[in-house]
Order: sequence, then structure tokens, then C-alpha cells
Amino acid sequence: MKLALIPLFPLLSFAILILFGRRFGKFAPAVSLAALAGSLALSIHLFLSLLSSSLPAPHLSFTWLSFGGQSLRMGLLADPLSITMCLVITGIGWLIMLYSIGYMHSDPRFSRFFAYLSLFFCAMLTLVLADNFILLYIGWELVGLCSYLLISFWFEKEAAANAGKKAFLTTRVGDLGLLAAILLIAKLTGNLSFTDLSATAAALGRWAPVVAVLIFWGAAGKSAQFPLHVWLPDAMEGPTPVSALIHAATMVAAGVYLVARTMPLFLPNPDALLVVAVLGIITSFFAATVACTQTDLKKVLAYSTLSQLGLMMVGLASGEPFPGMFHLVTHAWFKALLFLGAGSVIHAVHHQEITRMGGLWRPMPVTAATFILGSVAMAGIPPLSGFWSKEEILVAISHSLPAPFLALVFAVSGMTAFYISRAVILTFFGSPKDSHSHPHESPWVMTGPLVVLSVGAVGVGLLGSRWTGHAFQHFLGIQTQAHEGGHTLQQISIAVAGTGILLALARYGFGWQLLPVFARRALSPFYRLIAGKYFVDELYDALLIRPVQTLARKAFSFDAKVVDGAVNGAGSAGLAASRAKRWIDEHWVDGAVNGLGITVGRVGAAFRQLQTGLVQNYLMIAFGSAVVLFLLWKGILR
Amino acid sequence: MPVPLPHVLIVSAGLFAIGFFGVLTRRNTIGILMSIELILNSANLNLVAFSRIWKGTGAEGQMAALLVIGIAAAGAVVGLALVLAIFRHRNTIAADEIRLLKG
Repeated sequence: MKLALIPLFPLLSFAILILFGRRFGKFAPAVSLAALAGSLALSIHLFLSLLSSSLPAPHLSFTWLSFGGQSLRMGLLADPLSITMCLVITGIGWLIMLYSIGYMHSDPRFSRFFAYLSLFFCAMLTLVLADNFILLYIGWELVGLCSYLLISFWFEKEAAANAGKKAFLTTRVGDLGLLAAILLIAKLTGNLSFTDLSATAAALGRWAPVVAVLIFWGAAGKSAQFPLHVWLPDAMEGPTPVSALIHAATMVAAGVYLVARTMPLFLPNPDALLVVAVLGIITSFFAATVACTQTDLKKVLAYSTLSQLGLMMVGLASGEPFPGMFHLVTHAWFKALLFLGAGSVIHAVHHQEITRMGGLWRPMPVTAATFILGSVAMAGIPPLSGFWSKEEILVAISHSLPAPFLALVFAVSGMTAFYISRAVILTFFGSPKDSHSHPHESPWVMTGPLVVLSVGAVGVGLLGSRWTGHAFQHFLGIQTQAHEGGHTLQQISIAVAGTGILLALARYGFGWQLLPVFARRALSPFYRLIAGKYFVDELYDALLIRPVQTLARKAFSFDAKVVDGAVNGAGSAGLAASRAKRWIDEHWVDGAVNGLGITVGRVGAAFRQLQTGLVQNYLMIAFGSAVVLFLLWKGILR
Repeated sequence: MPVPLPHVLIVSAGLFAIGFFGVLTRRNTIGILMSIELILNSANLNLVAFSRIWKGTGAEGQMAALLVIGIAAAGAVVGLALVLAIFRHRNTIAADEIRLLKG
């Protein structure tokens, strides 16, 4: 029962805030913070009891529908994987919610924001605790809805409203894949539970690769993998805490979680794993190149999120769920930190262009220090968290995937260090570009979460490192094998990250031009291609959106010309016939009818009083008549 | 122990009465639509309850209830579209101000 309370607390808070939120005024966040703190406490309690005892994971299961001999069971399962996700979601989520109090303080829909956040937490916790595909799918769709509501939270802004629609429709394309996979599993095996997925994989037979790829298709929609990545950068139109919570730390990680959870379905199918690896590395590499060219602080972080999610998928494609999940956890901490730091900066300077910022470390020391910690963690400098999880991914890839993947991951790693250092240098160092504004440090509700998150960004990685004896791996029940070649990989990884940072420092810190003029001129078409985000949006616009619109216009003109023409023709014919009838009418029928008409007119005038035009009066009369008829039938009014 | 049939019927009758009262008294057309949903659901409750009593496969009543749910959703869509159209033309959705059919 304790298990069910984890998602139910936020649901309760949602119900209270959506119905009575306005009455709470500026105390609305207290309700949602208290509810989420309850979920967090329960998650920690379950985590500790899992750590200390060897009992099986808590499992709550009941029959939801019993229908024509079939029954559908619903349930919650708190195994180590789910509990890890719960801790990440509730822990980071609580800090982000606290931060939102400062960020949203003057918003007219203040309480509504916290209501939506609560609904999101309910959905996300349901998703990760679900013990079967159906409940997971319910949570999956609900987080999509919350994402839509929160991206277009400032729906007066057209860009925000459009971004919300785009996110909802694009992820819906992915959801279709997941739904198809679930229906296939239900039809072929009839067992939708997560508890025995290896047997499910065996029962699927030759359909198994199809199901696995369809599941990845769903995961790609939610985790914004190529070619369904287009919604995530646009989603940055939402409030920054939302970007941090939903579009960096938690919801977009749902796809990675889904693949990790259903790993037994992928394992017997190397082809399906290869699809995951290829699309993951494409996303990761392309997004990293785009991030190097963006000048909008949130867009840099958005493309960086795409790149890191791709990296997690490549990690999963090695066939072990651990490296991807580990990177998910560390990424959640440092990326939430980076987004909240960006929010703090945007809150202070009221725009997002890094080319117009500079020298901000002096007025905002806390934001600058925490942001730099997050950046270093993401760049992969030991002993911060990003280093350890990236190393796990590198080792896993070097064991199971072809060499080009390893090379590309190193390239991504170098670019990551480059673009995040570029963002840090342009934002916080150099001289202020804008002498009119007077930025100031954010209030403690915003800087407090930054400090706590930076502690996580520094320390969480250690849980999975060899310095703590691979504690995280043990918790997830994974055997740690001896890492051969790990040291070489580590050294290359540090060297690559260091090179990226130094290049960024030389180019943006000291202002050196790194390439000679002719090389820059030769490469400028590539630069335009990358800065234009590879024109994927434009491609979709030309290939999908415009043809559909053209089709719609064609259908409209068909309707206007052919269908309406037929109707109008029938109308004209009817008119001609009517003219003929009119002659007969006027000369023969009218005399007879007029007499009758006058009589009817008088009777009608009397009944007219009954015709009030109010639909509810009619219903009342009908109801009264029914009662009278009933009484007559029963013989009471005889 | 299963819930006895009369109890379900009483709940259902209550639900019907609340819904019917709402249809008769709400000024807001959307409120009337919501009340109609209550009436439909009271009927669903009856269907499901009777299906458990009746010695069939046990699914007939549930099938009918599912059909009602589906049709209710479609009905709500049409109803809301009508309300929206009325609002665009007349700038009100108060039931007592929509009396175009007055004799």
C-alpha cells in the first residue's frame, strides 16, 4: 500500500490545486512540495529497506478488469531499477519545484503551474513503478500530456503554443510505435507483465525483433532520438524549470528507462540493438555539432540533452542496461543544474542570447560557480559525475560494438567539452556586453536548489565508481566484470575532454582564430548547414506538412466545386418545380387552405404560449407527462 | 461478499436524480452536458449490475456499458461542438438565453 501512495500523493496535490489553487495564492507550492516530499520519503524508505534486506522487491498487484474470461492485472513494482528512477524523479523534482517558486513568482497562473507539475510527478512515478505495459503506457501518455500543458504554459506566446502542439504531435508518432508493440505482445503472448520478459521474448518468436524495434520507436519519440528529435529544441519555449525537469532530467529519460526495462526483449536480437546503436549515435553526434553553433543558452543545453540521450541509447545498445541507466542518473543531476543555472541567468538579464551576455560571474557568483561545476561534470573531468558514467559507456561500447562507434563517442565527448566551455566563457567571463542592465543574484529559493544540485552533480558519479566499490552496480544487482583496457579509455577520454575545453578557451576566452582564413571559407557551407540544425524541420515541412496542407486545400476545392455544385443543381431543379407548383397552389389550393389556415392559426396562437424556446421547460413538461402517464397506468389517477 | 443489487440500484437512482436535476436547473449549457454524462453513467451502473445477476457469459452488460461510454464520448464531442458554435454566434451559453425556437 505504501507503494501506491508514491504516485497518489502528487495526484492528491494536483486535485487540490486544480480545484482550489487560487484560494491558496502564493502558498500553493506548499501543497505540492509537501505531497512530493511524502513521495520522496516513501521512496527513500523503500530504497533503504531494499538495501538492508534480501526480501523480494515490493510488488502490489490486483485485477483491474475481468472481461469475458480474460483478466487484466495492474500493479506496481519497486525493484532497484524503479526505485532508482523514483529517487531521481522525486529528489531532483523537489529541488526544481522549490526553484520554481522563485522563477514563477509573478506569474498570473502561479497555482496552475504547480498543479500541472504535481500531475506530471504522478504520471512519471506511475510510469516508472508500473509492473506491466498497460500501466506504463498510461503513465507514458500522461507525461506527454503534462509536457504539452507545460511547454505551452505561456500560451499567449504563439511560439510556445506552437511548440506545445509540435511536441505533442511528434511524440504521438513515437507513442504509436509503443502502442503497436504492446498490442503485438498482447496478441502473441497475452502476458503484458514485466516480471518475466525473457519468456515473453521467447514466446514472440520471429516477431521479437519487430516488437523490439517498435518499442525503441516509442522510446525514440519520448527521448527525442533522430528522426523524432525535432520537438525537444522547440520545447524550450516553456518555463525554464519545466525544461530542467521534464525536458532534461526526467521525462525525456523515460525512453531510456523503457529500453533498459525491456532489455530482455532486445537481447536475443542483435539487429534491434544495432538499430538502437545507430540511431543513438546519429542523434548524439549531430546534436553535439549543432550545440557548438547555437547562440541561445537554452538551445545549447537542449541540443546537449539530445546528444547525451543519444549517448545513453548507445550505452544501452551494448546489451547491458547499467551504463545507460548510470548516465541517465548522473545526467539528470548535472543537466537539471545547468538548466536551472541558465534559468537564473535568464531571470537576471531577461534574454537568452549568450553573445549579449558576459562577465556575469561578478554579479551572480553562486549561479556562476554552480553552473561551472555542472559544466565540468558534463564535460567529463574526473572525479565529477559525468566522467564515471561516460567511462562506463565507453567500456561497454569497446566490448560489444564496432570500433567506429567508439571513435564517434570520443568525438561527441570532445564536442561536449567544447560547446559547454564556450557557453560558460561567453556567459560568465569576458566583459559585460550590455552596460544598461544591472543583473543581480537570484533569491535563495533559486540558488539553494542550485547548490544542492551541484553537490549531486559532483558526487553522484562516485556511487558507480570503483572508489566506492561499484555500489550502484551492486544495488541494481549487476556483476562487475574486470574492465580490461579501461585505463587507456580513461586517459583518452580525459585528453579529449581537456582538448575540447582548451580549444574553447583559446577561441572564446582569448579570441584567437583557430583556423586559417581559407579553411574557414571552405568550411562555411558546413557551418551554415549545422547552424541551420541540418534543416530537418524544413525537410519535414516540405515532405509532410505542406503536402498534407495541399491535400486539404484540394479536398476543400473539390467540396466547394463538385459537391456543392451537385447540391446547388438539385436546388435549382427543385426551384423550377416549385414555381410550377406555386401556380397551381395560388389558383386552386389556397382558397381551400386559407379557411383551414385561419382556424389552425387561432388554435396555434393558443398553443404558442407553450412554446417558450427554453429547452429545460420542454424537458420538465416531458417529465411531468411521464409521471402522469405512470400514475394512470398504475391506476392511481383513475 | 458481493454488493447486493438493490444497493447498486439505489446509488444508480441517486446518480440519475442528481443528473436529471442538473439538466433541469443548470443555466450553463456545459453544465447540462456534464449532467447528461451523470445520467448515462447511472444507466451504465445498472447495466453492469444486471449483467452480474443475469446468467449469461457475464460480458453482455459490460459490452453495453462500454458501448454507452463510447457513444457518450462521441455525444460529448458533438454537444461541445454545438455549444462552441452557439457561443460563436450568440456570445452566450446560458440555456435560458438560447430561445430561438420561442413561438
